[in-house]
Amino acid sequence: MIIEITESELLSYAKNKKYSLTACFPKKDKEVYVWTDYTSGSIEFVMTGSPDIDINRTPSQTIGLSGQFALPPEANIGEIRPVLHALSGNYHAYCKECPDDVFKLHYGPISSGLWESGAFHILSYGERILNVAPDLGYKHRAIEKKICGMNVKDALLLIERLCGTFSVAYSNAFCSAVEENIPERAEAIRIIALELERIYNHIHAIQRLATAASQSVAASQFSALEEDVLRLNAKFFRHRYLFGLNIPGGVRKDINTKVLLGRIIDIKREFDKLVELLITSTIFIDRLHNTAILNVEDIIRLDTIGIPARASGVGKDVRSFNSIYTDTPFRVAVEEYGDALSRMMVRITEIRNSVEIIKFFAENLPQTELKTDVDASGFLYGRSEAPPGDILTALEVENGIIKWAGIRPPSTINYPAFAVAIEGNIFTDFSFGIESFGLSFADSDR
Amino acid sequence: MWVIKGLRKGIITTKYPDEKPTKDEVPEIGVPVHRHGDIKAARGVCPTDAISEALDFYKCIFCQRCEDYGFEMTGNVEIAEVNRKLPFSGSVHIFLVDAGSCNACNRELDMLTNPYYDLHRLGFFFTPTPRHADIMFVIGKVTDRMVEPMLKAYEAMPEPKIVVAAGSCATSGGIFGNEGVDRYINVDAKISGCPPSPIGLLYGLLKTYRRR
Repeated sequence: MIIEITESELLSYAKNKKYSLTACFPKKDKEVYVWTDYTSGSIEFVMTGSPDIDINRTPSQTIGLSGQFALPPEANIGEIRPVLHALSGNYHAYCKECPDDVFKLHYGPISSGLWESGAFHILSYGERILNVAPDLGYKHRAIEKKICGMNVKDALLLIERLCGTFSVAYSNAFCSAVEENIPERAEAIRIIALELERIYNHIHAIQRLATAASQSVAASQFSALEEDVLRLNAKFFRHRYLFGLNIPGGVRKDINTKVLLGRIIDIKREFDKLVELLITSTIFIDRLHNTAILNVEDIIRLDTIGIPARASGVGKDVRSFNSIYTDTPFRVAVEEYGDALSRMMVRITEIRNSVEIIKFFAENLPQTELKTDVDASGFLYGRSEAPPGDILTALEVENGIIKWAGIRPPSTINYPAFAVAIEGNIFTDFSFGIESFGLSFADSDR
Repeated sequence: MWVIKGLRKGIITTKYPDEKPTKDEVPEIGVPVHRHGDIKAARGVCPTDAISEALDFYKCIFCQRCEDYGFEMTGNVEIAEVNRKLPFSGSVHIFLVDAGSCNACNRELDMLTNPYYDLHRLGFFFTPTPRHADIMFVIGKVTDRMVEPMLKAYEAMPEPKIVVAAGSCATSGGIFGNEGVDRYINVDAKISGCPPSPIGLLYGLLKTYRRR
C-alpha cells in the first residue's frame, strides 16, 4: 500500500492544500510520508529517500515564527510543512534577529508540581515570550522498535502503556489495524470506553485550567468529578485507566450497561452544574480569553489536528470517517476564535456529546459475541481519536508477528502549534496555553 | 457561589487509614492470587515473568491474562515493601521524579490531592525542589536521557534521602524489561501496581514512617 515516489512528486504533495501531513516514519533507509485528506478521510502512504531537510537554511522561515511570509520558489518540504521538523525530531528554538539581552531559559526536564518530565526552550524579552520550542525525547522508551518481532497480543500491552491516559485510543487504533471484522458488541463497548476516556481527560484539562487560574474550589470540584469517572471506569471496565480492556479481535469482558447509564447521567448532571458556575466566573474567563490564539491559517500551515484545530474552526476529527458513528448523536464540536477559551468550550461540548454517544450505545448494545480470531498480514494501519487529537498506527505484520511499526501520537504534531500560539503572550499565560492544549510528553516521546 | 457549592457537596474524603477502604475506592483489579489449576501454563502467558513459586507483586502488570489459568484478581491493592523508614513523621515533603512513565502514574499521584483522598490531611506535601525533599518518588521506566537529571536530583536531596519507587516500571522494569530504578539508585521502598491506585500509594507512603 506504500507507493514509491520521487522527491519532486513529494513536493507536489506538500504544496497541495488538500492534504495534511500526518506522519513521517523512517523505514530502512527511506522515509514514509503519510498524507490525510480530512474532508473525505482518505489516507495515502508514500515513500521516498530522505530529502534534504536543512533546518538551518532559512531560520526566519522555519517553524516557531508565526505570521505570514512568502516562501522562496525553491522552498524545500521542511519549509512548506514546518511540522516535519517536529515529526523527524529535528526541532530547535529560533529567534529572528536574536538580541544579546534576550533571556534564554531551558525549563525542565524535572519541573515543579506533578508535571511530567519534559522541557521547553523559552526565549523571552521581559515578560513577553518571543519563542518556545519543546525539547522532546526525555521520555523516549523506543516502543516502536520494541514491538518489532513481537506477536500482536504482546505488543498490545506495550501500546497501551505508551500513554496510559490515552490507552483506549491507542489500543483501538492498534486493534483496528490488525483486525478485519470484529463483533458489533465488542465495537460498541470499545466506543463506550473511548468516550469515557475522553470525558475524564477533558475534565482533567478543565481542572488544570482552573488550577492555573487559582480557582481552587473549582479545581477541587472538577478533580473530584474526574475521580468519579475513574471510579466508574474501575467498576465497569475493571481498571481505572482502562488497561486490559481491548484484546486483538474484541474485548475481554462484557459490561452491565443499565447501571452504567445511571452513573453517567449523574456525572453529566454534576458536570453541567459546575460548568454553569465556571463559565459565569468573569475572573476565570478573562484569563482564558485572547490567550494563545491560533488562527485558521496557522492550523493549515502547521497541519494541526484535534482540539486546537476544532477550536479554530477546522473540524478535523477521524471519528467522522468511522462508519459506526453514523446515525449516532456524534457531532464534530467546532468553535471559531481559536483561543484558550474556545479550546475549553470545545472540550465542554465534547464531554456533553460523549455522554450522548455513550447513552446511545449503552441503550442499543447489539447481542453478539465478544471475540473473534485475528489473522493479520501485510501492511496495515489504524486510526483513532484520542482526547487531544487523532492517533495513527501503521504496521507491517507477517503471520501475526510485527515486522515494522510506526506510531504518530497527537502530541507530536500539536506541540509546534502550541509553540506558535504562545508567542507574544506573557509568561503567566504559559500555563493557560499548555493546559488548554491538553498535551502529554509521554505521548509525544513514545 | 463556589463556597456554597463546596459546602453543599459535604465531606467526601475517604476514612482510609483509620478504616478499611470501601469497595468504591479499590478497583476490582488488585493482586492476582493463585486458586487452582496449572501454574506452569499461567507462567507461559505472563508477559513479565512475575509468576514463579510465589507471585512477584512488583513485576506484575495486572494484565489479567493469568485469570484463565486459575488465578483470581483480588481487590487487594495494599502491597508495599519498606526497607528503611523515615526517622521522623508529621510534615513529609515529596519530590516527584518522572523517569519515563506512561502518564498514568502521574495522574494517580495528581488524584491523591483531590478531595477524595486529600493527601495533605496526612501530612504529605509535594515540593517543587529536591532541596526540601524528604522522599524522592520515582515512577516509570528509567530512560537514557532521564538518568542524569534523576541522579542530580538525588544528590541535591538532604539526608536521609528516602527513595520510593512506585509502579511496576520503576520497581522492576515491568513490561519494559528487567531494569528498575534500583539499577541507578538505592531504593528504600516499593509500591506495587500498574499504575498503583491512590489507596495503594497512600498505604506505601504511610508505611514509610508509621503505623502499618
